Amino acid sequence: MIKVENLKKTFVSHDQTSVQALSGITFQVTDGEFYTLLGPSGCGKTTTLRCIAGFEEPEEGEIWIEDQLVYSSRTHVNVPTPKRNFGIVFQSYAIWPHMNVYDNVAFPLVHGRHRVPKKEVKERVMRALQLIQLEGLADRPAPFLSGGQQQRVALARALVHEPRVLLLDEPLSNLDAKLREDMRFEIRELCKRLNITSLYVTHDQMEALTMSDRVAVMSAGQIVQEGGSFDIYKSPANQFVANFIGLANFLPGVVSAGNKNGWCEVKTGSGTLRCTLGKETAVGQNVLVMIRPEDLTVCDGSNLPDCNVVDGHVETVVFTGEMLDCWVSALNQKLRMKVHPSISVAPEKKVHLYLAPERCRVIAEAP
Amino acid sequence: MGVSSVILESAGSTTVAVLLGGILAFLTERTDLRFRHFIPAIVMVPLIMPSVVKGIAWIFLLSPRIGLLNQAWRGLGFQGPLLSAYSMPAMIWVEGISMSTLSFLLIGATIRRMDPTLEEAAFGSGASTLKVLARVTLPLLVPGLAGVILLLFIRGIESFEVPMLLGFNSRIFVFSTNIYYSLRGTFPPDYGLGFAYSMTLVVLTVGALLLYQKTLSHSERYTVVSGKGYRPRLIMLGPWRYTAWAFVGFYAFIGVLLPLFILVWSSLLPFYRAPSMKALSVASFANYVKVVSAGDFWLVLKNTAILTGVTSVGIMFVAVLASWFIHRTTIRGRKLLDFLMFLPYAVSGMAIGVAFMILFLSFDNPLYNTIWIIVLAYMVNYLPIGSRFTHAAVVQIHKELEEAAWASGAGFWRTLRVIWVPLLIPALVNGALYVGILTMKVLSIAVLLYGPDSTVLSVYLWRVWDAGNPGESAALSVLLVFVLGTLTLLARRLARGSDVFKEA
Repeated sequence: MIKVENLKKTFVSHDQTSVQALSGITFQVTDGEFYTLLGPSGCGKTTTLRCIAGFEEPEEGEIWIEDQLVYSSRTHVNVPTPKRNFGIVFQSYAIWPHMNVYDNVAFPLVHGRHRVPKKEVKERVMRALQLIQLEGLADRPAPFLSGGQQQRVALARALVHEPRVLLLDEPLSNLDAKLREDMRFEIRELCKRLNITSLYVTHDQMEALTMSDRVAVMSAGQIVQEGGSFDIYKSPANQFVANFIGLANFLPGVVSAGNKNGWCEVKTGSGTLRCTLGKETAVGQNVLVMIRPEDLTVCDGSNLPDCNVVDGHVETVVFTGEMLDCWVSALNQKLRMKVHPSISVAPEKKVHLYLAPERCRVIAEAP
Repeated sequence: MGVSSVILESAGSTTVAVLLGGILAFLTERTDLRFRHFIPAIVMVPLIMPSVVKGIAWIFLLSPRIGLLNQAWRGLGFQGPLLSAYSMPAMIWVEGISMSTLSFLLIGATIRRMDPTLEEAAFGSGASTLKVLARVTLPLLVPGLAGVILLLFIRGIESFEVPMLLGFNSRIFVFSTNIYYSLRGTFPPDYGLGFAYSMTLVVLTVGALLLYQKTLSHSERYTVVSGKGYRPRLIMLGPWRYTAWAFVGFYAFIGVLLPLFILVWSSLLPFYRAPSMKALSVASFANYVKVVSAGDFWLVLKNTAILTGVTSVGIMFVAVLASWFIHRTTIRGRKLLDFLMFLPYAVSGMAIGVAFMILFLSFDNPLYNTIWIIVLAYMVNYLPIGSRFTHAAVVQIHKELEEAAWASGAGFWRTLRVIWVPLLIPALVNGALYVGILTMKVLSIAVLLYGPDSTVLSVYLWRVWDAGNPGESAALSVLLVFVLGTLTLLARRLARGSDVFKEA
């Protein structure tokens, strides 16, 4: 378990102005959960992880790793890093270049807080190397490892003392695309198999969506939304989250009627749309209607649904293999639409677009 | 008082150095010349010859009446000497060759820093090779080259050995030689005058260095670090390759072969004469025997060992601590420390020597006239260079390497012992060797501060020469070059070893 309570941290930059890096972060990662902090660079996700590891000292808040209180501004607790119990994988991997693979992995057992007899060291290092399928490379000097191998060694080193908590700081961002995709599943699978509590930091929405049990989207030192991958994608809390995770069309409008059974009607510049209600919307409020490109559908003229059908004019169509990526003029703006290649759309064609009400989310305008 | 001659000498030798080094750098970096990979090795060899040694070698070559080149010139039927060693043109020539190695390294780096895609874009727009060179390559290099020229000019102003050896006979004085003669060449010493000269020198070099910093910040706007291993397009030399080879051969001849040959030759003869079969019959190792059996030779050797050893180790020790404070802590005053470390770089060695001389004369202390005052002065002088090694090394050690050790549960001292020290060792050894080589080579500081019992090798060589023993000084020069060559090879071998770490 990792528990972070109301964490605050300010940085002073070169010109003496202070920047609020963390303004009250609170979250809890339950035992065995894979939890991801997702956000653009500078949002405070890495700072949060470094505070948990003890590399940075926050100004306020409380941090628990398992049942150890490692930081508390209230009771003036600040456990130094070597006394905190966790494993960590860095963005740069931080494989010591003057040691071979074995010595790198053995370090926590030989020099760290979990020293064990020599015989056991060997056994546990080999077991850790087996986990990441590098048993054969124990004697290889670190500089002769590829990026992917360094990544695995870093994982083995983080896991060799069998911590209950694993911190991962953008571990995949230095790998090439194909390897990154493989490692995503491998890391998640490994963490789940060992039932280890994992905190993963990334700016890559695909990594966050595919690996996590829960995701916290961060912006400007705050957690904007927390939830399962599917929920966050389907019902983002605001325009920032919708934009950061996946693609989205936004239609500005005013709530004209509703709040009945979770539905409402939104009056846009050219017609009224039936939408799924976001929380806390009142009649007369300015809102945005969000709809994902893959949720737009094209209807043939004969069998039209009774609402949310608008006329569109196809402008461009790009074939990307698994779909057609189109721009369509409708409702006085351009909408991005992704449809299956079997659908017949072509540039200059007039179409009827259907915006399924259950896919039209009413969200707050970006502040 | 030397202003015009110092500027003339410095500007002249800078021109020679930029032409020699620039052409060689261009051939190495940007042409398809075969065997161009050997050029750097050829250009680096003169580094093992201290300026005193180069000066002595060129006097053997260009002495008006008996110099080898001048005799050959007359042999061809010409009247008078080709070039007299004791003249301004000769000083410019020797200093220019001496600085050409530095010029080669700096200009080569400037060329490498340029993003080749900028040129490719010009080629892609259909411009010819010459057009691209004139319109894109050269303008892009101009700011960098301006910086190089300024830096070489500063070096020229500070230079001491060549003006002292070549300029004295014809009464050509520059700042550094003026300082020397007013403080050590006349009796009683004129401290006021020496101090005045050195202050002028400081103002001049600091001013030029400020200008240099400015051009540097300008040129950085031009650098586009591509980060990808693009190889720039190589220029086909075609028939010009013969000219290029001739040029490289000429440089190897005058920069390496001729000076080394004449030194070895002169060291074998009881008195100097031009090479011939007859002269060869009287060749012997007598000079070497005389040098080694001279009364104070072993004391000089001991002093030199102390100076080189203590200075290099001391500098690296101070430098690594300072780098650590500057780059890895948030302690107040670390910026000031960084500035103080850099400061001696702006002040020429000669002025530092004067400062130490006057400072240690002004109060009662046991250091004056001992080797330790020289050690201190050299430490101050080369601290900026030593700290450049440690800065680079400390910055290169990714912060996460030490954080990984902490996170594994290792405490501060264990991290220091198991992670930091092993990672820094190559840089420390390398830096110590580099500083040691410089300390052994450079005459200017020691020549101001040496006493009867604290003579070091470079000063000793100069005094043997000054006392009129060309054969013995040639033998000493050969020994010195041999030692420096060995140390340089060692340093290069070690530097290669540390590359393994850099790739990581």
